[in-house]
Amino acid sequence: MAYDARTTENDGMLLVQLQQQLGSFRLGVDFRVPLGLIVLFGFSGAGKSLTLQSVAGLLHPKHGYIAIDGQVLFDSETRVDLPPQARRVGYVPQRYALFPHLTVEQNIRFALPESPFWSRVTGKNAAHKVRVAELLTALELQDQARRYPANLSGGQQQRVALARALAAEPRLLLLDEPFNALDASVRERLRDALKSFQHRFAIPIVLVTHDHTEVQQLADTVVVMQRGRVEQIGSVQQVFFAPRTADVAQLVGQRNIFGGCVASPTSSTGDQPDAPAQALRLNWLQITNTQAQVVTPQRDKSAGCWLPLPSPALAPQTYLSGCILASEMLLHRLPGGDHPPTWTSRGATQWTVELREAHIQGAAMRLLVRPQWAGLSARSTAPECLLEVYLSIAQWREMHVAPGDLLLLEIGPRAIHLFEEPPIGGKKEG
Amino acid sequence: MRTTRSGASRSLALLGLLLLFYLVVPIGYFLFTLSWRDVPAQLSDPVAIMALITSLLSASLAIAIIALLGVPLGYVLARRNFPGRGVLTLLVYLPLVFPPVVSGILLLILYGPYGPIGAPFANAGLEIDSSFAGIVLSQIFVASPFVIIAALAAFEAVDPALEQVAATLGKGPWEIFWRVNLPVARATIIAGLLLGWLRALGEFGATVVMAYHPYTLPVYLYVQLSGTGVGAALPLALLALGVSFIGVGLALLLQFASRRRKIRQDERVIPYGL
Repeated sequence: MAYDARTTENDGMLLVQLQQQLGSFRLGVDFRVPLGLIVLFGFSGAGKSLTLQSVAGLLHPKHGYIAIDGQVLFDSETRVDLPPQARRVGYVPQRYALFPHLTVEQNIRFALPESPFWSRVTGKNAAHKVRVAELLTALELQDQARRYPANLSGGQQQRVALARALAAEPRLLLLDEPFNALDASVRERLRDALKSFQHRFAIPIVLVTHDHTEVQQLADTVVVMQRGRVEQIGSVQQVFFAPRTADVAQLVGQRNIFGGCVASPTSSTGDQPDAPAQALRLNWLQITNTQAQVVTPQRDKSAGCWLPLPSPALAPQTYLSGCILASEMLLHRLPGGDHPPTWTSRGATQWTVELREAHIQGAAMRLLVRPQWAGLSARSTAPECLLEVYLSIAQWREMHVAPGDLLLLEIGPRAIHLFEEPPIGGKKEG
Repeated sequence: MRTTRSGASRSLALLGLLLLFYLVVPIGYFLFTLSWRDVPAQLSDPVAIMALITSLLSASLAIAIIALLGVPLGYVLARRNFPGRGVLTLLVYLPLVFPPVVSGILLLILYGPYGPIGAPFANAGLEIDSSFAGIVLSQIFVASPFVIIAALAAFEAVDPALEQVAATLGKGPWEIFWRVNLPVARATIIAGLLLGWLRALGEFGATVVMAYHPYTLPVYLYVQLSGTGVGAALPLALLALGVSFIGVGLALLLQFASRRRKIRQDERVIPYGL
């Protein structure tokens, strides 16, 4: 661990450290993030829900430390393990777990602390009534007060679950895939609603999801989890445009993953005055949607196998992996016919590519293009080597091209993101 | 959808109908052949009335005891994981498949005047067999599986997430049991209690071995049948049939009501290795 949990200043922070073996699954979580809207992001089976349940006190890890805003809920060393009843942590599971035998009103009232016996007998606890009415109004559930959960829409069920959790006055809300049970058509609206809900009640939230849009729309801080471990912690920008590892890159949807070697392109492309002193010689490129690799010829001197380097001061022969950011590349109409790759004066490389596919995705155009490297395709065992490129709809309209056309793809240093981790064995040049 | 109404499903329906026919015809013929005019007179037989009261009282007492002990057992079998849980569940099913007479014999050798439990009582002048207590004991033995199994199924169907949420809302284990598990499982449990009550009411095999006297309705029915003949037993049979009809109807109604309230739980997620 990079820091000592017990001596760090933890006000306004959520601190979670967990070590637990569950069958063949190993949960080893460690993060410390400011309270706000924290998103645990990862594929299913990454251990996100287990982490959430541990914070709620429903699971008891072997080793660990959990603190919210400086208050310790769990510490295996000093044997602190508050029961869920004492943690004041609201938990909303995947399908909301509303009590089916209680009306909306009764579901919310359930969360209020036990009233004295006499007031329960008379059924009139004024303070409770006021509190329930407040919550019903705040979450626009007045008209549903007397209905049973089975007769509510998914969005209404979600609001009841939130109201019920709030009624217990928690210091943190845990939401496990809160939009999973909803129709896609209402998700976006309800995500906005959740954001304003959070601001309104000023309550920190930890939300678990595997959905990109949810992360992008909601997260203040993203905690990326994979196979029971935290892979990256950061803002939405950092996680989506600067993934730390190839795994995170795949999770956030960066498909153009490559491996290469730092070298000098000038000697091999002597006729190109704009070639930088140092660049990245491409060794392999992971192909969109498949795990197959295109291996570039070892001694290929053609400039097509070069990528610009974002940071110039790297030792020659350093082996690197990274991704070409799909939304940071430029496409131009091809002046004349196919021509070999070149360097521009801005330090970008230009490849001739064939447009294979184009379709709308969200508010952008997603294109699949195939680099025209003669040497490469002959040696490749993979069916196709396609790069993913995102363009704005306006840019796409201006280009007037159709699948099958040849285009010029410009990859500048800004489009290249290098991973921090050393490349995984087996993917190296063969 | 046309494809679902295939020839296959039609032949299956036909086979099912055949059995249904076999089940319904005896009841229909019985109601048809009964001489309704004599029914009131025969039912005012004081022995018959006593037998009915004995049956109702003993079955009600038996089901109350079963509810008190069987519902917790069902909960434990549904929620706790312990070694021997499978064997225990199997044991619960046994009285269901024993021939009732065997159940009676098992009880008799234990609670009879020469049995290890029955002997001290008999010496004190309190015979367990041939008494109201004997009837209740036999009924508990044969009827409890209905309740335990219903409770087990009912508690198993309660989404564990409900308990988890209740715990995070500050509720302790007892309160969660009383305010979440029990109410959510209630309808199925009550249906099980009703069926168990009916089973106790109709209990003959074990009762006749364990406690021939005082007469319960089924035992008296058998006495009438073997002593006087079918004619004398028919009005009593009508009585038994009527009670069963009402009981089963109520049980089905309850189950239907509980199903309507259920929220979809099909995509329940169970955490790793738990």
